[in-house]
Amino acid sequence: MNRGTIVLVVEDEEDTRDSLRELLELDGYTVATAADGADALRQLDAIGDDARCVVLLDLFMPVMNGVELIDRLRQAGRLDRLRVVITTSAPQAAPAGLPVLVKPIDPDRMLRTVGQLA
Amino acid sequence: MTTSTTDPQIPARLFELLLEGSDVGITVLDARGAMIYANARAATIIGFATAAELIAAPVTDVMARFEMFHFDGTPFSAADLPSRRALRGESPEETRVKFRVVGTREERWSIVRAVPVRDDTGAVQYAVNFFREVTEAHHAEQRRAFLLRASTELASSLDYEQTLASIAQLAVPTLADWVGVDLVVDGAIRRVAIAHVDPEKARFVEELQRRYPPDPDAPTGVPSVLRTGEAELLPVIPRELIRARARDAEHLRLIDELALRSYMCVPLLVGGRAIGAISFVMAEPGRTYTADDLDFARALADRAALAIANASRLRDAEETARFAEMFIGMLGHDLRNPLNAVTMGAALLRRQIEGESKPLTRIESSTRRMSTMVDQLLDLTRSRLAGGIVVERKRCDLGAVITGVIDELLLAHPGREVRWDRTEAIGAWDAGRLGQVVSNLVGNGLEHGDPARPVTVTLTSSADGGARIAVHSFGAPIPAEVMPQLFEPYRERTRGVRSRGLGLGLFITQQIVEAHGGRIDVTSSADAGTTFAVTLGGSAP
Repeated sequence: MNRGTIVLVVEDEEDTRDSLRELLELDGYTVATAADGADALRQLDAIGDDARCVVLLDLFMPVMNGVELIDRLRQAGRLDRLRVVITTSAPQAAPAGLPVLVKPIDPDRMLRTVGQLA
Repeated sequence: MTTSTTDPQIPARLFELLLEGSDVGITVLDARGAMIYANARAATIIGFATAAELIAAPVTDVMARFEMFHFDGTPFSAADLPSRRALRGESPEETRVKFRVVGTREERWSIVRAVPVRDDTGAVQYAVNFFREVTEAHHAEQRRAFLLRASTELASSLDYEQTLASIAQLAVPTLADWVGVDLVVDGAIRRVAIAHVDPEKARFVEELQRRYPPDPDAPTGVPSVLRTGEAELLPVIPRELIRARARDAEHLRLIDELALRSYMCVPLLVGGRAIGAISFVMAEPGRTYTADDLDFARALADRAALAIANASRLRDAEETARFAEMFIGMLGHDLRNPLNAVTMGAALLRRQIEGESKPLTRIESSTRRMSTMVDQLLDLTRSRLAGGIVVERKRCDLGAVITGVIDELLLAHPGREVRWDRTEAIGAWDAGRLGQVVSNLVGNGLEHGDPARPVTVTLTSSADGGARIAVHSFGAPIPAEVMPQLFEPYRERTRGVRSRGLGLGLFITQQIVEAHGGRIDVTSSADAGTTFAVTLGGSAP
């Protein structure tokens, strides 16, 4: 576990986004948030590719959804440098090969998962 | 026929009256085969105006009027006619012959009998020929057989448009030259089936209907039958009627081409309302529809209407059920988001509050229960609508799965004991789904079992690479009458038992086990307690 890791929470629902941020901050992480995929791309640009970053990514969001964001990151060759965890209420829609946290998210499991990737 | 009289004085005139009044056609042939006598009935059946005309006609001309067949449709040779055989000195048995008037499709069914009359030397002098027309009886038999077949057809499928089409096809050509089925769909008359002796003509009728759609206010025909719910019968369609109904000269020409002769139309009545109509038309000269035919058509329409009503009721019910399950699925997904916010909020509070908080504990346990219910609702929808629960087989360490599940359950059930001596079983299974199975079975044991005694989990691997998970608990046994429905959804709800969940746990557990190609068994008694055993087949990881 590396508390220096930045966790980017990408989630359109404000309550969930804030709760996740606060839980992660209580655990000692630096947290950035984004409300959709396009917002997340801007945040990732600001964080830079050199920082160690875990992305908690919701799938269904306005503007740019989670699946589109993953496609964009993959095309840009940036996906391998990131550690992406899908958070969703529809796990069957999640892209293959990425860890999934099914909503409602078990907070302890979420922190364990982030801890393993950080 | 046996005639006996003791009075030698009985006048010849009386015999004549008997013969002329008979409903049986009678002819007498001499030894050379020439007709020397015929009664009036014989003339009518054979198609002559009077007996004298029939007798005057050469036999070859009479025979040339008909083609003859056995009742099964195979050709019947004139040499086999009972009269010919009687002339040859045989005593022929009663024979069934179908006559078709040459150049038409008019058919007559007859039962023919003949006896030889011999002179003093024993030589055949005459053949007396009796024939009874049974065309009506034959038609009645055909109608009965048709109704039987139509009933079977109607009961065989819920796709009633398809069924109506095949019934229309069945009716042609025996019962009609063409049959049309119309249904009222969204207030408009729609022809759903048409069958014609000549497929070319069927297309022609369709075209006619397209170019001249039926006038809903027409005083006769399908629109009128649909409006009034009353059947129509026109044994002979009057020429004036066709003329009156034609919209223009072209319409009249097209109708004339169909050569409509005899017609009947019966409503399809559901709850006293006409939802459609079946029309029968005879086009070729010959048969005309009778009151018997109309009765038959009504009987057929009643059966068809009943089948349509049943099919649409079932279709509605299925649609409602499908909608309900789809709605449950969507609701489940949408509930997960606010539930997520509550769970996160409770977790934050837990980190901020010092010491024990009963309200917070209740929030946590309630959201856990609610979350389980949502998961189960989604699984139910998936197993019912989406073609079943899907398992993703990967290398799976079942021992690790069980350990993880028990650790989580004990967090929610402090003070309880679960005995589990970890063993190993590795196979190609869906770890997440089997975790659900173990969680449900151990959770049930903790909830329903004796709280003072432990729940025991054992895992054994079999030689073929399979595995068996057994979950045992003590406490009150499962009542014997519940056993047969134990794995049915909503079981507890329908029995009126108050339950902490939805009553879906065991149903979904069984679905998951079966999706793995495995099985689940249960034994329960007061002494031995209750054991659920899951058996999984082996397959290469």
